Amino acid sequence: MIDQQDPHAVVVTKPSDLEFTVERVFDHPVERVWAAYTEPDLIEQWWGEGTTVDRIDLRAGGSYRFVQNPGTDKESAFSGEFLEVNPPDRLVQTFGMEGPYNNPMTQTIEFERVGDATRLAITSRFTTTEERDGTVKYAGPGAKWGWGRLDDLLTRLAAA
Amino acid sequence: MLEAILNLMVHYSPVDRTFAALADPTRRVVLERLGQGSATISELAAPFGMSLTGMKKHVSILEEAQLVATVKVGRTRLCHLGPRRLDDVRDWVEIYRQMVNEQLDRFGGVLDRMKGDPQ
Repeated sequence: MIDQQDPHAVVVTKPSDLEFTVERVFDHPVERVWAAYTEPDLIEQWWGEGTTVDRIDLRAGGSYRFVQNPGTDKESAFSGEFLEVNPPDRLVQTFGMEGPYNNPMTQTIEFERVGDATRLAITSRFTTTEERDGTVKYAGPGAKWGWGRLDDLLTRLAAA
Repeated sequence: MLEAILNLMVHYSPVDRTFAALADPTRRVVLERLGQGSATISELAAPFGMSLTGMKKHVSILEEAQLVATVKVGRTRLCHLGPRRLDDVRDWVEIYRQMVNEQLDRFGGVLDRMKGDPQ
């Protein structure tokens, strides 16, 4: 689904009782967007907050762990396992935030080529509708923020 | 990008719950009443002419926001103020106040310069 007014708008939908999908179009080729999601030095750049990639083993069954604000009182870690790695189209992974707020979910990331652009859609699947509903309120603003930084990085890469 | 969504949620959901709980006048009166001492659900409901079920609903929203805590005493439920001290709400309001004041100061500065300018 693409917003007719703004081709780069973030659109949030609920395809089932346990899922929400966030999508957006980026004016960059699908290989670049895939790289931004899977290459450690690029992940660290657009995730911001001093993110370091602790580990990333990009294959089905491999795991990853990213740490934001390491060594500070704002430190938070995100980790999971890759379930499906199909470059540059599809990435399925478990995703969880370590610590008091641990709400494990499965994420399906679809990279769709739209001419020279990419339509990126992330579907997050939760274990209960309550968890989904508690999180979906923050999906729009969170996606604008996080993907805004991704868009900035892609634009910098294109200019380099 | 999900990390950005989760960060927002972790950061804001307690404050959001508090604001939602405080957005209802009945619930604010309940908090003021409990500030004077604990009360049962029926004591809280009486002044509003409200059903026990209706008041239980308000109390459970306040309880979720940790503004109220309840304890079962025999067959009644006794309510008292909860552990939330609203420090994060105060911090948010304080940051907002500072932003508004700085903006007014800048605006005042612009007015002063305009006054000094013969144009």
